[in-house]
Order: sequence, then C-alpha cells, then structure tokens
Amino acid sequence: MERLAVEPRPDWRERAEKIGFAFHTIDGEPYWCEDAAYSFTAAQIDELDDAAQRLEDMCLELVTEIIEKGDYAPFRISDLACQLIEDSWRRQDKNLYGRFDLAWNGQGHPKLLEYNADTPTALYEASVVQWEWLDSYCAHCDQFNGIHETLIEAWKHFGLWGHQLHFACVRNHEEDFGTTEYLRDTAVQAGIDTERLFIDEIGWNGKRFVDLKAKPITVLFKLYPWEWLLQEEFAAHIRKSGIRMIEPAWKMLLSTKALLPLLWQRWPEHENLLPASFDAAAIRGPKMRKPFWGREGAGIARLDADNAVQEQLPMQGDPGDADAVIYQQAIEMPNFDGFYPVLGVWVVASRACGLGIREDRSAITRNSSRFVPHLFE
Amino acid sequence: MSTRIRTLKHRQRKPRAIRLVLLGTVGLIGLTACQENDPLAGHDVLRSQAECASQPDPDACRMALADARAAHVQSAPRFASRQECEDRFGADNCGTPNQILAGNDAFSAAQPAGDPAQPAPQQQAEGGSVFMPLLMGYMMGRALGGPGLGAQPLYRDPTNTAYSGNRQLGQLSTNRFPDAPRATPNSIARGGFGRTGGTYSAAS
Repeated sequence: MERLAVEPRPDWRERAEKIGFAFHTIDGEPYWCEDAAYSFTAAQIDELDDAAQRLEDMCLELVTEIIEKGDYAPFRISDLACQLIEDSWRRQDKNLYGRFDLAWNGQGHPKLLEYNADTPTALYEASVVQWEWLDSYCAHCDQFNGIHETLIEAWKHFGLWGHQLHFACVRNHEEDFGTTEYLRDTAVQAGIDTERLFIDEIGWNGKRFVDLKAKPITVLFKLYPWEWLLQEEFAAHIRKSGIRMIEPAWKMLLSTKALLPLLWQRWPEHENLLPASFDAAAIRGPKMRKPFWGREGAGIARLDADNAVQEQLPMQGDPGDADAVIYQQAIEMPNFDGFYPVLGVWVVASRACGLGIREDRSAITRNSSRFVPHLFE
Repeated sequence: MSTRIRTLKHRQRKPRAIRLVLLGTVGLIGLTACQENDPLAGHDVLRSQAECASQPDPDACRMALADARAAHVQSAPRFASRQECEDRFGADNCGTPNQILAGNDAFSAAQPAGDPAQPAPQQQAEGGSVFMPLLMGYMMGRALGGPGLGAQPLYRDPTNTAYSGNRQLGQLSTNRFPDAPRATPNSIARGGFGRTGGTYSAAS
C-alpha cells in the first residue's frame, strides 16, 4: 500500500460535473482530490475484501443471536425501536448497503474502526467518480469496485415488483441528495418504479404515509438515521402504517457503536477487531471514546491511559444520552505523507464489493475529510 | 486439517462501463420533467354503455363492456372500507363489486343488467363488503378481444393516473380527460419527520 502523488487532470472539475458529481467541493474546500491516489497489490485487495466479508458475516450472526435472545439492553433503545427491529426481522426485510471503515497500512490485518450500517455516504464517489478517474489515469490498472453492478443486481431481489419505491433525504444538502439520487438511479436501472421527496415532505393521512401527490408510501429508502426518525412526531405511526424501510429497522443493531464491544465479546481477539468495551477501565492504554450514534466523527474523544480527555470533536446537535458511549483501543493510525487514510469497504446486499478511501490531516476522520481514489495492479 | 489456498480474486481487470440513467450529462437536477405520452392516445374510450348506441355493432359493444366490468371486479384493487378506497382513489370514486357489476359506475347511468332478483345497489348493506375504484370508462381495441370488439376497463386516481385491472397505464392528459376525482378532503399532516436532521447531513 502506497500513497502516490498524482497530477490532477486539468479538467477534473468539468469531468466530475459531467458525471453528475456536483459536491466535489464542500464549503469551499476540495472534497474530491486527485492529487494523490492509494496503490495496493492484488493480495492486499483480497485481504480487504475478505476482512469486510468476514465482518459482515459476523454482524449478521450477531444480529440473529441478539434477536433470538431478545437482549436489547446494551443498545439503550426504546421499546418502539425493539418492536420495529423484530417486525422487520420477522418480515425478512432486506438490507441494501453499508460501509466498514478499516484502519490498515497494508501490513498485518485490517482493523474495524466502525460500521456505517444505516446511512453511509461517499458511495457515488467510490462507485462512479473514482472509476471514471481510473479509466483516464491508468488503462491497465484495476480497482476494487463492483459497487454499481452489485447495487443494480441487489435491487432486483428486493421484491419490489408492482411497488413504487420512494427515496427520501434531508433538503438543502447536496451530498446526501447526490447519494440518494445515485441509489435511485441504480434502482431505476433494476426496473423499479421510483419517486423522490424530502424527508420533511412525508405526509401522514391517518392510516398511511403518503407522498406529495397523496399516494401511499409503502417502501421507503431513507437517507436519514433510524435514531432520528424514532424521536420525531411521526415515529408512532410507523408500526401501524405497515411501511417497509431501507435500511430496515434491524440495521439499528449494527449502526450503533454498541456493536463494537458486542463483536469483541462474541469474537475476542479476532484479527479484524480492536478491543472495545462499555467500560473504560476494561481497555488498557490510550483509547477512543465514541458515542453510540455519532456521525462524521461527531463527539469522538481521545483519552489517555488514565482516561483523561486529550482531544474531543464537538457533538452534532443534541448530545443525548451521555452514558451511551463505548471505548475502543486507540491505535496508531496509518499515516502517509501527513495524511490519515480510512479504508471504507462497501458491502451491498451483504457482499463486499468495493473500496473508497477518505483521508484527513487529523487522525479522526470527519466530514471535512477528502475522498482519494485508489488502484491496484 | 485443510489448508486454505489463497486465490487472487481481483487480478483480472474486466472492461466495464458504468451507465447512469438519472445522473450524468445533464446534472443531478432537472430530469424529472419528462413528458410522458398519454397512455390512451390513439384509443377510443367509451364512458358508458349508452355510448354503445353509436358503435357499428351496439350489442357486441354492450357485451364487451359487461365483460370488461367483470374483469375489473376480478382484478382491480380491493379495500376493506370505503374510506380506505377513497383515500387512494378519490372522493365518490369507489363502490362495491355489485354496484360496479350493476353498471353503477361514475359515468354510465345505472342500467342494472341481468339478474332482476339482485337487490338494488342503493339498498344493499355495505357492511362486510369490499370496495374498489369505480370505472372511468372502457378502452376499445379490436386487437384485444378476438373477433368482436375488445374492451379494457379503466379507472383512475386523483392524480389522473390511469389503471386497468392490476396495471398502471400512466398519466392521462388533462386536455382529453379533465375531470379526475377529487382527493378525499381528509387532512394530511406533514413535517412529522425531519426535525432532528434539519439541514444536517445524515451522512456517515
């Protein structure tokens, strides 16, 4: 694994916009970068692929065990959340996608930092934009990237024939909108009838959720976290409406950092896991404190061996339940030329199928991190 | 013990082109205004049995329409209550199968055909029945029904989207089919999702 210095194509902005990638620059800072690329060997790509697949299989096994036992206490979720989880699991609602964020420098084993199982983004960049870059950068190089085909294939198994599939995200957010529209694009290519709206436009007519034309929403892709949905006014209607959501409610068991200690308890010393616990004292040495539901690094703190806070990123909005945190062993993050890359391996319909890398000058990856393409030979 | 043999799964680069249908050269926004063609363009649409009188073979026409009504009752969506049906298909746009079979649809004058022993639809108790959208008319097509006239039952919702049986046909042009049923006046609450996010990204 190497970080290559790359000459950006002079027309990269135009090229990006031509393929619908409008959010290459966020708040004036470049987000898409092609002055660098990460290079791997084929064996290293296999290692990443295998690690993500193993982790996904373990996650599904864990979810099965938790639901069988009905042991939701560690998750600190409401009764409604538990009911929705069980409803969706019993109905066998299918999951679409997720991203494992791994720390690795090409040596030893990739380690799981966290699993973005509910509302992962940077999908379009990984699937389409970096492939377009590879095509013009290196004709004989390859990329760990079958995301696009895997998405189209996955949609065909969702049992949506005859249904309309609605796509919703927050308004006024280009990156979320772009991600949602990309997913809708792949659904359309799978032959699905789609409609889009913003999350606040969803209506309730007393019996069903409805769209802006008052048509019922029976299946909804929502780029909006479950824990946000469940604290809002319409949450009480979800069960009786019979709506199916993507990601399904059972993904709540995986999209929380509470997953990390539970994986470590279930598979102690697993080569792809870092020691994690609900109890700070159980993790020796420096550690990261992560809120259950933080996004984009929000609320993550670095603690020294005596549990004193060394560095903390602000929370986004309401800090919520202050005790809902986990501790994970801090590792020395791989550093290439002053940048810390996080390797995001995508799973679609529970198959590992691609890699997208974000790097930051800080060791905690935030919303400000940059997307950097990769290749292997 | 078996040894695991490592295979390099990613060695072959396959030629691969990514196709996008919504995104792409025009950008993300502005692709929704596709002009769809009226699904009934080029077809005769009869609104009622009475219009059979102007057809070359009025009796065959009436039979075709009766068949189409029966097909509609077989295949159109069913609801457990009038309210549920009207929420979906609009105010005063639903009836029981018997009302529909009796020709009591939105456009034809009631012409109870057949069994005189059947109670008049108005007196029929609605409890225990099912409800389905009323017919808006019949699409005539000679290719559909073999030697005689063929007729496909048509119904629509408040968005002027036309359906036949269990199939959605598409958006009707308001020039040719102006009088779509009104949406039921029951109020729709909005804004019950989205407050936590505001304009935060939900990204992770």
